[in-house]
Amino acid sequence: MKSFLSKIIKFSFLVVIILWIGIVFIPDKSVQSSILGAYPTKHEFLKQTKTKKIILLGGSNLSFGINSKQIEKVLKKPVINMGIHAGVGLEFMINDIKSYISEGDTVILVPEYEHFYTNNFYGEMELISVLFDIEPQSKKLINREQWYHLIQYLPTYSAKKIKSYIPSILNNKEESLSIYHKNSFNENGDAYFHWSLRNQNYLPAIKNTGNEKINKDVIYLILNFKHYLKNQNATLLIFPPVIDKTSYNNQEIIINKINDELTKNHINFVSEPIKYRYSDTLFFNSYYHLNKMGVDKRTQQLINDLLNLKSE
Amino acid sequence: MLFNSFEFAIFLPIVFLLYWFVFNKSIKLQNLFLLIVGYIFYGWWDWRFLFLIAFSTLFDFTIGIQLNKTNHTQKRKWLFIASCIVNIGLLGFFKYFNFFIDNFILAFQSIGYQISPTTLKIILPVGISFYTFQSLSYTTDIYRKKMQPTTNLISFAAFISFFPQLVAGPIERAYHLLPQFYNKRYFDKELAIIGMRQILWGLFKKIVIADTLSGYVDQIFASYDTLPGSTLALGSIYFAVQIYCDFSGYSSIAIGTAKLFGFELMQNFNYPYFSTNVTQFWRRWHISLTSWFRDYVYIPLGGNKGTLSKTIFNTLFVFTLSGFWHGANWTFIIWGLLNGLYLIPNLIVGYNKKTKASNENTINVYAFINMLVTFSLITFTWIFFRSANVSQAFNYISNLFSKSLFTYPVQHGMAMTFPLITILFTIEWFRYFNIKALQPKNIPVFLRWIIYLILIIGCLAFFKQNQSFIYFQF
Repeated sequence: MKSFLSKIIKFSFLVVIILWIGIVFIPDKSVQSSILGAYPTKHEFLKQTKTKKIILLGGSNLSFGINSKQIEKVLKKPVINMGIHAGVGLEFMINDIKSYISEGDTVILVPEYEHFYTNNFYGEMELISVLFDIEPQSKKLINREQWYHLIQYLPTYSAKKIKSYIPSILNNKEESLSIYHKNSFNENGDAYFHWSLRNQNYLPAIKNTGNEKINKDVIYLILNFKHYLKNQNATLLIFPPVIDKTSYNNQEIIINKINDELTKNHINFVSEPIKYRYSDTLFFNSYYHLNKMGVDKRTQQLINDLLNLKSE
Repeated sequence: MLFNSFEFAIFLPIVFLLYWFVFNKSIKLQNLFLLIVGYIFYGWWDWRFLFLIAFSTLFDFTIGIQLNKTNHTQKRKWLFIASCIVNIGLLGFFKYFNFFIDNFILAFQSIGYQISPTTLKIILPVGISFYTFQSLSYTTDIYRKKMQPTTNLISFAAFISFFPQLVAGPIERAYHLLPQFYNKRYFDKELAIIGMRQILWGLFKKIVIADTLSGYVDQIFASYDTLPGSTLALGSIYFAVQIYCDFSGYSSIAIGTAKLFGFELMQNFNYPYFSTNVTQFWRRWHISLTSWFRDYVYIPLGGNKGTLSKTIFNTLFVFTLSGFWHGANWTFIIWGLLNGLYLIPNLIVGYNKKTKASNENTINVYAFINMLVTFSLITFTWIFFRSANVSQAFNYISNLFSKSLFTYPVQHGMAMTFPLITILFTIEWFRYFNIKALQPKNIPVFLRWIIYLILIIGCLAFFKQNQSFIYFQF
C-alpha cells in the first residue's frame, strides 16, 4: 500500500506541476484572437464614452443579435454592446462594467436563461481564459464563491492550452478573420462578420426536465445591481433574450419560472419572454445567435420597447 | 454521480483511503462502509429512489432465505414467481408503463375507438434495469439450487448497491460477486495498478473519443433530412464508435474501480468490433447482459437443444426481449430483432457448435473482410438504436442509401475524429493480439509515465461538463 500511495502521490504531483506550467507559462494565442480577446477594445469604448450612454450587457445573444448603430441612430445616444459570451457568467459581466457607469447611463441587461438555473452564472472556462489570458487585472473582480466554482475548470483549461500549444508553434500564423475572431466586432461592439453568411445547422436547447431550480444568487445580484445603478443615477432595464421557437418550447417551464421569480422580486422583464421567441429560420448557428434578418427584427423590437417605455 | 465528473474525482480517493485505513478492521465494517458509499453514490442522482433499491434488496434477501428453508416444490415455485413479479413489476412500472398505455391507446384508435390517455409522469430511476437483473439472478440461482442464500443482510445489500457497477453494470451474477463480500479484502498492489490503468483507459475512451464523437452524432441525427447520404453513413459509423467507447469506457472504469477495493468484476467487452461474424460479436459485446439472457431466458426456453425452427424462435425472442430491455421504444425492439435475424444464417450452418473450441484471434485477409462486413451490419442496426423513433430511423436509412451517398460528406469533423478513431483501433488491435512488447510491464517506467501523462492531459483537454453515459438511460 505504501509504495502504491507513494507512486500515486509522485505521479499526481507531476500532473499538478505540468498543469500549473500550462496555466501560468503557456500563452493561449487562439483565445487571445477569439471573441474573448475583444474585451480590452470594448472596455476602451466604455472608457471613451463619457456622455449618457446605453450599455448592452449580456452574452453572445447580444453580440450575435443586435445592431447597436441602429439603436444609436433612433435614440440619439451612444450605444456600446458589451455582449461577448455567456460563459463569462452574469456575475462577472455585471461587476466588470460597474466602474464605467456614470450618471444618466442606461444598462440594458439581457441575461441568458441558463444564467438563472446553471452554474453558468458564476462563469465557466471562458471566464478563466479572460482572467488568465486576456485581462489578468480582472482577477480582483472575482469573489470566493466564484473561485470555488471556477477551480474545477482549471485542469481542463491548462490541458487545453498544452494540447494546442505544440500545433500553435508549428503553425505560427495569425488567425484569419472569422465569425469568432476578436476583430469580427464593429465599433459599437456588435459581431457583424456573420451577417452576410448563410444559416448553419445547430441543435436547439434541450428539453427541461422540470426539476431545474432558480439560483437565488442571480436574483440577489440583479437586485443589488439595480440599487447600485440607482445610487449612480443610472437606470437598469432587463430584457429577455431572443431564442428560437423550438428551444423556447423546450424551455418553456423554466422560462415561466424565471419570469415569475423576477416579477415576484419587482425586477420584471421590460417585455414578455414569448415576444422574443422568433422563428427558427432567423437564427444563424445557435438558438441564441441571430442572422441578419433576425438582428434587424430584434433591433427594431427593442427600439419600439424602449420608445414605449419612454412614452409611458 | 458520474465517473467523468469533478465530484467523482474527489469522492473516489476519499472512499479509497477510508476503506483501506479506517474501515479495514473487519469485513463487516468494510461491507457496511461499501453499502453506505453505494447509497451516497446513487443518492447523488435522486435520493428518493434509494427506497426502491432498499425495497428490492430486502425483498430478494427474504425470498432467498425462504427459498432455502423449504423443499416443498410448489412453495419454492411461488416464492420464485413472487420475486419475478416484484422485480419485473417494478421495472415494468418505471420503464414500460407509459409505453404500454400509449400503444394501447394507438391500437384502439386504429380500430376507431377514442379513449382518453392517462399517462403518468414517471421518472426512470437510473440503473434500475441493471440492479433489478442482478437481484433477480440471485433468487433464480437459489431457486435452481446453484447457490446458497446469504444470511448476512449487509453483505447482500452491499452486493446489490456496489457503487462501481450499480448504475450500468457489468450485471454481476450473485455466485461470482457475492462470495467476494464474505472474505476479508487485502490490498493487492498489482491489482490496484491494473485497476488504475483500466480507469485511465476507460476515461480516455469516454471523454476523448465518445464525447467528441457525440457532438457530431447529435448534429447529424438532428438534421438527417438535410444532409447527404455520405454524411449519414459517417454519422452511423461515428455512433458505432461512440457507443462502444462510451459503454466499454464505463465498464473499464467500473472494473478498474472495483479492483481498487479488492473486487474482480466480470469482463463486459472483448474487442467486439474485431469480430468476424455477428455471433462472435454478441459473445463480445455487453457480455454480462448477453450471458444473462442466455442463462436465464434462452436456455430455460430450450436454447439450441430442439429443432432448428425452435432454436431460431428462441434466438429471435431473446434478442427482441434484449432490445426491449434497453428501452420502451419500438426502435430498440427493431434493433434487437434485426440482430436476432443476423444470427439465423449462423444457426443454420451450426456456427456455434463448430467454433466453440477454435481460436478466434487469427487474422488473414478473409477474416479482415469479415470484420468489415460484421462492423457494417452492426453499424446499420445502431441507426435504429440511436433514432428517436421508427419513422426517423427509416427516413435516415432512406436518405443514407440515396445518390448522395457517393458525395463528399459535410460537417464531418473528420480532421478531429479520424485520428482519434485510428488511435483507438490501433491500440485495441495491439491489445487484441496481445503483443508482448506493448504490454505495460515491458515498457520502461519513464515511457509508461509519459503515456499516462498524455492520456490524462488528453482527458482533461477534451473534458466537457455533464456528459452522461448512454447506458445510464437504460
